[in-house]
Amino acid sequence: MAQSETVVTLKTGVLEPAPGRGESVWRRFRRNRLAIFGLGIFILLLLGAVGAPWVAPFEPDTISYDFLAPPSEEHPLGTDDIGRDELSRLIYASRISLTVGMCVSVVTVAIGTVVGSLAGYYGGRIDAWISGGINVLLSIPMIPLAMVLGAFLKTNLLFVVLILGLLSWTGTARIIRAEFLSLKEREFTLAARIMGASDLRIIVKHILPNTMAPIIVAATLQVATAILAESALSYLGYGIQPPTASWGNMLQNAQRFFRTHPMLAIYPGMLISLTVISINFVGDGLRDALDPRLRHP
Amino acid sequence: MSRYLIRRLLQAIPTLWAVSIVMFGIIHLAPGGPMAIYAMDPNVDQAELDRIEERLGLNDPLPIQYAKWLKGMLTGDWGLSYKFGRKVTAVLGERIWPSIQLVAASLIIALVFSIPLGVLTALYRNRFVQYVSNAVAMLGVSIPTFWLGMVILLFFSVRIRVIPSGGMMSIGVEGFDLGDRLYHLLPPAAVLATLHVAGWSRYVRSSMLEVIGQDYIRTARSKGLTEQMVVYRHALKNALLPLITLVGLQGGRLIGGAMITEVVFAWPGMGRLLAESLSGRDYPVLMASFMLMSLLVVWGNLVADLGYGFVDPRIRLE
Repeated sequence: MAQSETVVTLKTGVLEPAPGRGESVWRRFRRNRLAIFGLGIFILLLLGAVGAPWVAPFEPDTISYDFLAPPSEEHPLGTDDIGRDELSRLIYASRISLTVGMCVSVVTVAIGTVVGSLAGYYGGRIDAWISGGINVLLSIPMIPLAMVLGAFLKTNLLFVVLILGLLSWTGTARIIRAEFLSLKEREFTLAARIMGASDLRIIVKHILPNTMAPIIVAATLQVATAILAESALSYLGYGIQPPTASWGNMLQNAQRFFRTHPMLAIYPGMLISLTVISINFVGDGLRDALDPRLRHP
Repeated sequence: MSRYLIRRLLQAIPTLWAVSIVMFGIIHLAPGGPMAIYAMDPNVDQAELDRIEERLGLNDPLPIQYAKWLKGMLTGDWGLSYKFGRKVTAVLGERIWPSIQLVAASLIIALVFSIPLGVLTALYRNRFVQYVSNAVAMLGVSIPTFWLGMVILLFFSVRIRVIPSGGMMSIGVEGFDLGDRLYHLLPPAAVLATLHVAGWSRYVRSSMLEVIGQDYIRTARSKGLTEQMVVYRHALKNALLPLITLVGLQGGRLIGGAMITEVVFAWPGMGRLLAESLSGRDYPVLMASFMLMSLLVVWGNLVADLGYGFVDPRIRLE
């Protein structure tokens, strides 16, 4: 038998320190092209919204005698029925959508985290009551209920955020509750309890940090859902009211000139879709990057 | 099984009761109200206003109004619609049937498209198929359905005139005509289905992938069955089990979710009724519609659980 020689090549170089958690998440996120694409679009939209006064060629509410004008050098996307510059209105409307989306997300995460933690940590009767309440809320169709509230309350930005926030925290609460149910049985929770930590301390310092991944993902996807809900509500006339431009109420307005000026109805919808899709890509990417176990096959 | 069913039905009662209290409170405590419409009319003086309020029972304290409403609801007397002046049951009866047609059609369309799509993307796991299916699913959940409806109307009704611009029947058609009904039903049903095609095909795909990797599939393959037999007779059956839950849960919610589609396509269903009653502050119709929609959600959840136990004997319902 011939003796086989084993050749071992060693890579030389300096050992890099193990990347931190944030860094490795970013590395995994970066590899997902769709997520990066989504993030890029979202940042562009955000910049446009923040810099609206500089980006938009006109004030969104300035009327002119150019009714329903076709695209021109002055008005790149034409004007609407009372001569307002369509492009400027679209840009300003993105402020509404992004604000509603992000604020609703904050509200739902806040309520959902508190309610979900209480239900999951304490279990028993508290859990039964909370889960029962969630079931009640879930059995009322959301858009119709939001419409009723929108019809009866004031429909400004704050109320739209509150209405949508108060109606959509149930999903987050369920996720957090499920996480707590499993995490509270783990050794580290027991260890903390043995060391005499209070319930509040165990919940906030020991369990909550471990639920960050699903919270971040849920919060991101909630931004997209809220933007869709706001546009639907405004389209039906129970959300953001004209003259304040929102993509939803621009669609409602455009419907009257649908046959003659279809593009007025196309633009806002395209922007809603683009915004929502970019956020959904980011959310999906975050899910894969934050917790590889959650990756859907 | 029947004990489980009875317990679940009993559990539904407090849920629906709570829904009724929440909705009654929201609707009646809100500013404005049906009286505001009469108050704006200069020909109606205060005495007349008081008489109307008395007749509608709106001057009773709220708990009394609720008790009266609850009693009426339970005894089948759902009151008169303020707007139509007819019985609420009659108004709802006219509107719920078109809604059910729309929802049923969209569920069928969603299933017909999502199951093959999910199976195909599970079987052909190359990058291109993955990308396309991912993108389609993403588009489906990201495009607002009402806008999709508008765009479809624009292209297929305004431009090339192959679909009707809305409504449930053509002018001049009397009674029920299946061809004409389908012609009007398909566009809104297809739009409503897009949302579910996206979600369900992903679901079918991941559950198919899970099943395909199991031992009994290897057994089926090794005893020489054709790949077709393996996929459709052995794998698909089990892979579709979780879908039943999803269809039940989401199907029940669909009547509420169909609202905007109904508005866009001028479909005379529950959703449009709700939108109309809202602007007219038609309290009895509003309350009844909400109760009906919630009932459907609860019912859908129940069907989901029971259906799962029925097709999968491994699940014991207790």
